[in-house]
Amino acid sequence: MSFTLPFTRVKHRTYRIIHGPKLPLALGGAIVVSLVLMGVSVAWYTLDGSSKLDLSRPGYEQERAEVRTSETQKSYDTTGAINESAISDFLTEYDTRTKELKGYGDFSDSTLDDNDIQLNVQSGDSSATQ
Amino acid sequence: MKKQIVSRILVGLAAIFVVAFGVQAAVFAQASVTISDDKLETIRTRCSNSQFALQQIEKRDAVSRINRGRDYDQMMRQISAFNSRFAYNKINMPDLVQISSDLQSAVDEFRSSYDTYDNDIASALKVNCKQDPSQYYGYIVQARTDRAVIGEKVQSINDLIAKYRAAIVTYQETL
Repeated sequence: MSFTLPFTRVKHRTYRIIHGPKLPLALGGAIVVSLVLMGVSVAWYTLDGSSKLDLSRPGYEQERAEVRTSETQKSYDTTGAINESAISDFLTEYDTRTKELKGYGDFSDSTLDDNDIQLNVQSGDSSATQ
Repeated sequence: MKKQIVSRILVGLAAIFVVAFGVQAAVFAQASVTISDDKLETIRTRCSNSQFALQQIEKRDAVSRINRGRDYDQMMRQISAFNSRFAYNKINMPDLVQISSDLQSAVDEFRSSYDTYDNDIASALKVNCKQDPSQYYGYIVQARTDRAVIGEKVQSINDLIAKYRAAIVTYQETL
């Protein structure tokens, strides 16, 4: 008897919520759905690596200025003729892009050397056996 | 019968724990390297400075990664459109298509190798290097290796970009 009573109470309450005013139910539902969607988007943002490249975070003001401003998405003609002029135009833009790429870090430097990360041993054995 | 099922489930769970723990131990072992006492002391004393420098490097690298990623995307769109133009004009250029495909793969590899490298840096920044200098340095060593991999990917992308240009110029000469 004591076990069925709370169950009956819950049943009645659920019945009252379902058949009662719909506004609280709708508001509650909206909050739950928005929380779930927010959780999904934050998880997505973190897991797909976007968070690592997000320079809009605080502390990245200087880096934001160094990022090339995104130009408007250029569309290319896919049905034009292939002639001298078309190839010249193509090569002009291609070379501009290639030149731009040369101006960015290419990750082939020794940036993570002990000196760069303040770990240079001034005296004694600095070799690490790995 | 029930006991048998329960014991099998328990054995299964134990096996999962052992495997999971083993993997974690392997990762930890990878991050730890043997280094001299002098070095350990240097890491301990300069822990904060080193992590600050590492943070600055991470920020600079993010800028390079973003700028490169944007230019690669733009370049791939331009190349793809030009290949379509060849196809539309019924000009068979299989080598161009092959180079474009290789280039796309190389760009994808560049992105994933950067993610791996950035994970190393993030792990190094999370370590308390005053308490565990060996693990900190382990992540640094791993990051150096992974950074070199990105460098190789950038080089292979550069080679493919030059190869595509050379193929276009060769075709231009036949006009």
